[in-house]
Amino acid sequence: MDPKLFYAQVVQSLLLTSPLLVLLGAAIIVLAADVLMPRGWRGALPWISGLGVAAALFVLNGMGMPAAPQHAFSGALVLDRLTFLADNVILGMALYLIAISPRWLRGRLVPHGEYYALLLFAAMAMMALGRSSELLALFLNFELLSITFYVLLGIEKRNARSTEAGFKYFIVGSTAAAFLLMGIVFVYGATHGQTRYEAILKALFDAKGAVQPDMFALGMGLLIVGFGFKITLAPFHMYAPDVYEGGPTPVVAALATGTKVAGFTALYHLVAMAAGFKAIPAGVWAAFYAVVMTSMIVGNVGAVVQPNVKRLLAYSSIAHSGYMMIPLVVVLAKPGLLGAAEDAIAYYMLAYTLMTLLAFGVISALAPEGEGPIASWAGLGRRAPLRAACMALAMISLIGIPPTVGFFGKLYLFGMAIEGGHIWLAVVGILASVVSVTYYLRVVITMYMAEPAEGAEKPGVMGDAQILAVGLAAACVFVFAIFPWLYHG
Amino acid sequence: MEYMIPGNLVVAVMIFAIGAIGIMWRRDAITIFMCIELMFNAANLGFITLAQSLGKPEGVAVFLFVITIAAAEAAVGLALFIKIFDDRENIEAEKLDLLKR
Repeated sequence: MDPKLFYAQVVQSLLLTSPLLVLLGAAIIVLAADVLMPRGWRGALPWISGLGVAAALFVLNGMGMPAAPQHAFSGALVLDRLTFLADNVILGMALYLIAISPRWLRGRLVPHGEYYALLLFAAMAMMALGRSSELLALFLNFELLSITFYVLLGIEKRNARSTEAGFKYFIVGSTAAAFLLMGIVFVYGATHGQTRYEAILKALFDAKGAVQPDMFALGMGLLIVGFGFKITLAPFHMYAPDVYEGGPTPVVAALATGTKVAGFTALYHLVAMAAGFKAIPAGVWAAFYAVVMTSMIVGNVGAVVQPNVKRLLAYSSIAHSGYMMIPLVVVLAKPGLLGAAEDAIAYYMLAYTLMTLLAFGVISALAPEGEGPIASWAGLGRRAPLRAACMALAMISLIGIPPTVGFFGKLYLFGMAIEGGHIWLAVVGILASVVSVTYYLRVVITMYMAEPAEGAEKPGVMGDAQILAVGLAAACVFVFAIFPWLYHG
Repeated sequence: MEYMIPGNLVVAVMIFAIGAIGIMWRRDAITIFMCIELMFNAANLGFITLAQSLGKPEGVAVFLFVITIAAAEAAVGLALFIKIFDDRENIEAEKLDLLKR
């Protein structure tokens, strides 16, 4: 290749991935600052990380939403509309977590420098995973994200629960990666050595039909199993309640929101690649369908009996993953609906992230007693009215009551199911949402109706950054419901 | 187009299956982790086989990435194992039940 052209392409690729590079730089600065700064200056670390994320947001939005997909590094990464929106959600999440972390970290044995640096690495890995448009890049970014979370989940010293959460996520995460890798092998073999999504798409719809449909279906199935672990779809969800309960609360919040945003963005690109490919055996799509159904049912039914708010949110996240899969199932048979599916997923990932972050923000503001059984939340309506109101709002939005983001998100998703002719998905989804009213409202009722236990104290006051972050998230639950165009134009 | 499935791919699938069964049956964390490595290497074998039979030598390079990633993962995993061993003097996966009600 002409060297001039080559350098131009490298520069172009670096520019497209600049938000990731900014985060990488910020993480390294945080690590260096932790070592070089005097011990008393630890309070500066969240500020440095926050500035890094703000700079990444600035750079990303400076580029603006791309009109057409733009590829970087010979097609390994892509920046399109969905990844642009996902990146914004992920960076917003990172800012929120950095704002709520200092208060939560107080009095815990967590190395601060590593904690903030790893949060930034995790945000970078999420963006990279969502942007993957080549199979090897997909695997590397998947593992980058997993490995960051193995460390983050087990980061709390002398806390056996944190270690256990990290260990369980480690076993499950590496198994998932192995499945993903085997899936890549089969897709690679079936398409005669293609790894870029664009090339695979071209090979699939090539009239000569060189692709092995059975092998391709097997590969896609294994890929979806790998992602199923990552985004907690039903038969692969077993680890989620334990990991969510034991892990550090802000880290679990990132695991519940950012990881799923990234996972769904990556999965959307994979499904968009295969959508409309007719030669795949019907059994594969039936299995896909069954996974979505069981996620919605298992998530909602499992949550009813959970005694702990973090476990409850784990099951809730399984259910919401099930809802978010609906557009992907629909487009497999009807590739004409790809645009609508992109919109529905993009909106729901924002909605889900906002309300789940709000809930986890309140839990971290009530730590350590808020991380215990739901019974310890009794009487919070009087003891901590602001936090109780925010939690109630998060629960109401998770149920899907208007005028919150949760309602409009579900409206789009179930609308997609009906439009695509999958009435049963919509029916099961709506019935499952009805079941969800019982456990979400149980939290609200405990806070406002139940009498607090003898000697229950007023929880500690919130930090300023925490109030700001939680308050903003609560406001956004309404703002993005009423003005959705602020988000996706 | 006629397409022969290379024999080594069958071996790779069998190794992968052995690893997957091992994860479910074995109890101590080290053996489980070895089973996971087995699955990774099965995928490596599959990649190399396919790259060769498709006449795409660049496909072989994938195993370098996979082995590097597996090494990084092993480093983090063993650190977690040591942390658990410090706490409770064994690393049997079944005895890790603090988070079960």
